[in-house]
Amino acid sequence: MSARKLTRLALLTAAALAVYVAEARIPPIVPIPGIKLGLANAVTLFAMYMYGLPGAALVAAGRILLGGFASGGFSMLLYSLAGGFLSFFAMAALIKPLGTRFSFVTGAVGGLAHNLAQLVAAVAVTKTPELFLYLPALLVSGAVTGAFTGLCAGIIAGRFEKYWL
Amino acid sequence: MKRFLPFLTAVILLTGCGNSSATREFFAMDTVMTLTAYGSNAENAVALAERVILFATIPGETKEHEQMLQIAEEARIMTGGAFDVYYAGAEPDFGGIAKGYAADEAARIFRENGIKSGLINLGGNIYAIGSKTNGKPWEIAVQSPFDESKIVGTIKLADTSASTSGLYRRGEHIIDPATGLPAHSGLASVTVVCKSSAIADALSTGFFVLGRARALEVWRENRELFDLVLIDDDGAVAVTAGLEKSFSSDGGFATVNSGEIGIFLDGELLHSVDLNAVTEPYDLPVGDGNVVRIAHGEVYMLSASCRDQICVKHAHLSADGRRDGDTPIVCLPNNVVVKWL
Repeated sequence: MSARKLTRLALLTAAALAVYVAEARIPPIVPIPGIKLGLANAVTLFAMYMYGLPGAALVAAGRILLGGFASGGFSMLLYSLAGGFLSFFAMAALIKPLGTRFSFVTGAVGGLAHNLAQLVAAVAVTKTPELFLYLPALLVSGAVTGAFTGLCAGIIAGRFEKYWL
Repeated sequence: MKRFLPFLTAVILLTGCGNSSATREFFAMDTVMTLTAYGSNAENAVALAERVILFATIPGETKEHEQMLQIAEEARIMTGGAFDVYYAGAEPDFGGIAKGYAADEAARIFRENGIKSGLINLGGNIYAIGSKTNGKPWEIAVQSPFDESKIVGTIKLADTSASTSGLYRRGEHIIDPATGLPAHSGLASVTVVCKSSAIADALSTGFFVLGRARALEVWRENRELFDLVLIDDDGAVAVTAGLEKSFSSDGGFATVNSGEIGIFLDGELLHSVDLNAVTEPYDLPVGDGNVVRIAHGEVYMLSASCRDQICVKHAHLSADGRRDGDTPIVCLPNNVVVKWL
């Protein structure tokens, strides 16, 4: 890996972490655990478009681990990892066929996968199957917020292709 | 000739699939009664059931009246006197129990005659025998007490009965034995689902007098015996826990729980509390960072050490089902869960 690429990945990780911490400061609008904008995911998706999957995986893993240490305990880190893992693979499968033009679809699928994995992890950790009552709300919010962050990532990646590589 | 066509087609359809059926409609106890049975012995069963129902309506010192008095006494005790066949004096008035009793008798005749599928409808008292011929449960509609052309929801019944009392055409005549005046407790309609239609009939009358809160108290002590569909004057619909799966409504409804909640830390049950037994509110610390406030019929997260405070903002869990209290209160960062048991 070139020093240039390493630096840019580190920069993206820092940006993702900053977005993540900033977002965590916003009080939740709906009192349902797991509903949030997920802006840090936009950085992951952007990294996928710009640097390919291995680079993006480093950004995502770095952000989740550092964010987990910075805020919340072990269980929150576990939920972040579960959500991040599944959404990464879901989006990774879609970026090639859909490209930046349909980034909102990729983002929506990523949001869905993220919330689904988090919910399954939460049910397992808390041993509370009743949490599945939140599934419809989490799927809808995951798709909507995911589409928004996907759109952001797609627009930014589209602009950067011209100037940054 | 033309008007007989639908009827003829129906007969052909019913006999065509190798399953005979019989229906009988007649007028008794001021109401239209319909008996429907399926199976080889259907004709015989409905004829016998009709005779038994008509016989049960004859006044006098009969075995039937003695049985009704016994059931009425059970219902009087359960409802604390809100159902009382002696409200008018020394002569019992079986108006609030006779149709239910007749439905039980008809159900007994159906079963004795090997009927596996049938429906007994004695004007507000319904007994479902077995399931429909296609194996699915019978589904009965609960009429709206505000507009009788509309339905509030449907209940799936299999080998059980349902009885409704309310502000329907005849319902305004339900008398409160305590005052001797027409009852008005804030309930617009009560449906009781019970294996005994006589008990369902008597309780629905009594609960209409008692009102929501006291009806639910009786239910909590007799949860194995019956379940309820309650419609308030403001149109709010609530069902007791046993009907959560079998009741469906387009307008939405609340489920009334047992009143028992569990408080879990790291997936382990720490405390279980019967909210209806709580008199004075108190606070329960859970783990390192959460405090649960427990009050009569209500529980919520008072405070939490986590940043998002989602569990503190969660709707209170309320035992009377009036609020949206079905989802558990959960604090993911501290792994604390409060939910109905």
